[in-house]
Amino acid sequence: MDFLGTNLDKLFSSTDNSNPLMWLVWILPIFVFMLYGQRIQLHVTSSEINKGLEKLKLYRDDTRKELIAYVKNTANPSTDPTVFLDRYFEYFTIMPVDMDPNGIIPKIKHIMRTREDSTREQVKSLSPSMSHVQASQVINILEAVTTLNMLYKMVRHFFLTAKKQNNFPLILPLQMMMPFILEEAEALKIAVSAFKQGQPIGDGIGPMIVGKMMLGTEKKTVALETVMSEKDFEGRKLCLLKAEGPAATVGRPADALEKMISENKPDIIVMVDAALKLEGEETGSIAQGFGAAIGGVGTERFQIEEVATKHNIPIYAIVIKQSIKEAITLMKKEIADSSDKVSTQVYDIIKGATKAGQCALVIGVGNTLGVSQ
Amino acid sequence: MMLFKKKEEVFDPYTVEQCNRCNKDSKRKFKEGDYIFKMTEKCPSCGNGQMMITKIFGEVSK
Repeated sequence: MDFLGTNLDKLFSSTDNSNPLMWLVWILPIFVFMLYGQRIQLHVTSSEINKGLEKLKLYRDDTRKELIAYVKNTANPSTDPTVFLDRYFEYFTIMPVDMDPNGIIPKIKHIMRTREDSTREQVKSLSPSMSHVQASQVINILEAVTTLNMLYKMVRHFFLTAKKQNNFPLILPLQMMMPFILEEAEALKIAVSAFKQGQPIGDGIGPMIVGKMMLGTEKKTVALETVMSEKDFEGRKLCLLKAEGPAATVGRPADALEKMISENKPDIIVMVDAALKLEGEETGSIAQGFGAAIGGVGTERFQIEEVATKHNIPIYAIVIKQSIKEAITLMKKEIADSSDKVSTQVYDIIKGATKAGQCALVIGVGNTLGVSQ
Repeated sequence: MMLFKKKEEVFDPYTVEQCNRCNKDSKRKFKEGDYIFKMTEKCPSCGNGQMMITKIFGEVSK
């Protein structure tokens, strides 16, 4: 090849090390990457995070619009709910000081209860015609939009700080966390549709199993949005406890247990709940173990553990595995199909761990949206 | 950068009803107002029993 008198074969010849042009072609990029490598990497990473940030913004705005439209269409509020809802999205919760962690649980419980009660009252005040189930659905969607808003603002904060200070190390953890954040955000966005239509979610498998055991029994309210019933099983007394469906609520099983203990002490507690699966585990697979199977901030679990320890009651747990996305979106067939197997396992535990004449408490833990009893 | 792009799955909601007499079950598309353990209509198969919603779940749309 000979272009304009230059022989390219000779120019890039690997054997000729004396060519100054060749020297520049190889050495210059090394210096460029040494001096500006981090900035180039920052630029590439920034554009990726920016795409994720745009997605988060879109999810937040879409779900916000969906919620406002849902409230307007279903509850027919007398005033425009947009102002209240927009104010709610910015609500925050200040966790108690943990420098001295002694006695922190009742403080957390108090703060969380204040938030829950206040939200419930404010949502109900939007419209007198709003049903209990509709109000619970609005509360759940509000939580989803608030979480999306918080995720968006946190990611934006770290992204802008890193860019402002050209701080590459600051952007690295964000880049690593982005797929997890986006997965959760996507799940929250999809969850809004299930909440609006009152469809059971993956987390509702516990209440679904216990709800089936409750069919044909007399139910009584034992704590806020929590029902209990009793029935006989092979000479044993079964106390069945779950959140009151089909509203979107998890109830207050720990309060119900505390109340129940004073009247009727169970010999064992069996808790049925959804649990996060590890990558590679099958959705709807069942695992059995020991201890209080209940999520949340930890106050309910603490209360149940306290009561069980004080009265020396063994706690058995059965969990149905699912991903975070499956837990908050429309229940998958594999999860729904596991219910019969779990029921059999619950009865097996009761038969094995109690004798005739004893009492077993079965708690269906989870959000009972779209699941009655 | 995503190394493996997953195809997005869309789920259609279905409702399964079962007769409390003849145990015959039927699957249909989910309707708003459906919830698990809701008594719906008389059993079209035996005519004596009552249909009850036993499951609501999502299946990947084809």
